[in-house]
Amino acid sequence: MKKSLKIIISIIIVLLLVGGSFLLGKNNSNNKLSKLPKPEVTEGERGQLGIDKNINESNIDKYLGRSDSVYRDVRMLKDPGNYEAIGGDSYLSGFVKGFEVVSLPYIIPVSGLPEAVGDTYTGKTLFRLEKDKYVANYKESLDILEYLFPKDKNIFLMCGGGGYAGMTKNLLVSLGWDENKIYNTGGYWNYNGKNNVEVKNKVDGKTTYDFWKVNYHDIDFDSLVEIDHE
Amino acid sequence: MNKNKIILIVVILLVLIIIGILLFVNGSKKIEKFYLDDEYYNELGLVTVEKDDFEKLLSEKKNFLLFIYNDVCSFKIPCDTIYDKVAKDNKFEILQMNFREFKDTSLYGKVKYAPSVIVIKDGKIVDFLDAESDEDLDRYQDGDKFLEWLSSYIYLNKE
Repeated sequence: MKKSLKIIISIIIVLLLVGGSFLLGKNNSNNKLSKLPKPEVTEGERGQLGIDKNINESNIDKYLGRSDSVYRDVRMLKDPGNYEAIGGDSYLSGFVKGFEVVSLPYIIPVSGLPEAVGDTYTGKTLFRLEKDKYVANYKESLDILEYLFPKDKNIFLMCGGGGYAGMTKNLLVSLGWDENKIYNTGGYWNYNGKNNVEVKNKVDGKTTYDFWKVNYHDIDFDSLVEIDHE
Repeated sequence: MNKNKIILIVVILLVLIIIGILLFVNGSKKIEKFYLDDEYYNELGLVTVEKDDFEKLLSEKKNFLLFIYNDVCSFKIPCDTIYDKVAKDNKFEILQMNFREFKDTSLYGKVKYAPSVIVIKDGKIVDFLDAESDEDLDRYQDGDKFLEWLSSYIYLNKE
């Protein structure tokens, strides 16, 4: 009787110690930012887009809300391209909580879309491509980019499938950003985590979009000073 | 004596489990070619399937191919163009579904990313093109390489 009581008490003490250590560790990790793995491109088709192997749609939830980082979804709210023609959605139908929208097509011209989709946005952009180099179209272009993608922060990028995010990383790196601080976390279309924010609604057969939920950074080109390149 | 018996039983159980795992793994690696169901030997190429119909095919243990795609294909030549041509040229049908819809099906999780072509036998996945694999990269853009991979699993013609 005495022996079995001792065993039971010992087990309880061990469980309390293990549980206590776990809780203590968890509290500590909340207070101190954990070190991020270095950006590393995955393989295959996703690797062609530059999607990160270590931090992507499957585990981005673990890295949200960091004070040393910014989160940017580089899609448009409403893409002029006809994605419905290929069974897709031209609208930003949802996003991962914490990501703020900065539309890549307003930063650089994008191309290479399927024929059925037609043209995407072809209007003004902050930069243009000239002989494989990005050249500013406005005096404020670089300031705006530095404001939206701060160089002293880790930058987590996302889009629909990872393509636009990859283009954004390439742009930033070519303009002097540290590639080891930028993560292409892939596409919202592949996201299945707990921080999904639905924007698209369908009520009584009518589709609406709650864009008011989106933290969106607009660029007003009319207020910018165009650079004369001639 | 009791203690020794217990140890002996545990060891025997462990050995049996290890043997079982080895047999299972070896069994699953065996690739046996099979025929798609009759209705998929035609010249239609890519045909859209709805989620409910797809789940019905799985529950009915059908043999078929499924192409899942994102809204935009990142490759130089859109995958659907390649797969549609390969399927029509060789007279078989590939079902297709938008990845957004596929995420609501019972197979999501086993196949995590699009684009992909999934080979399904008896309603179960035999293999699929992995968007994170360098080995599969060519099979997204080269019709011949795609066909070579596919024909290692299915008979391209119904005799």
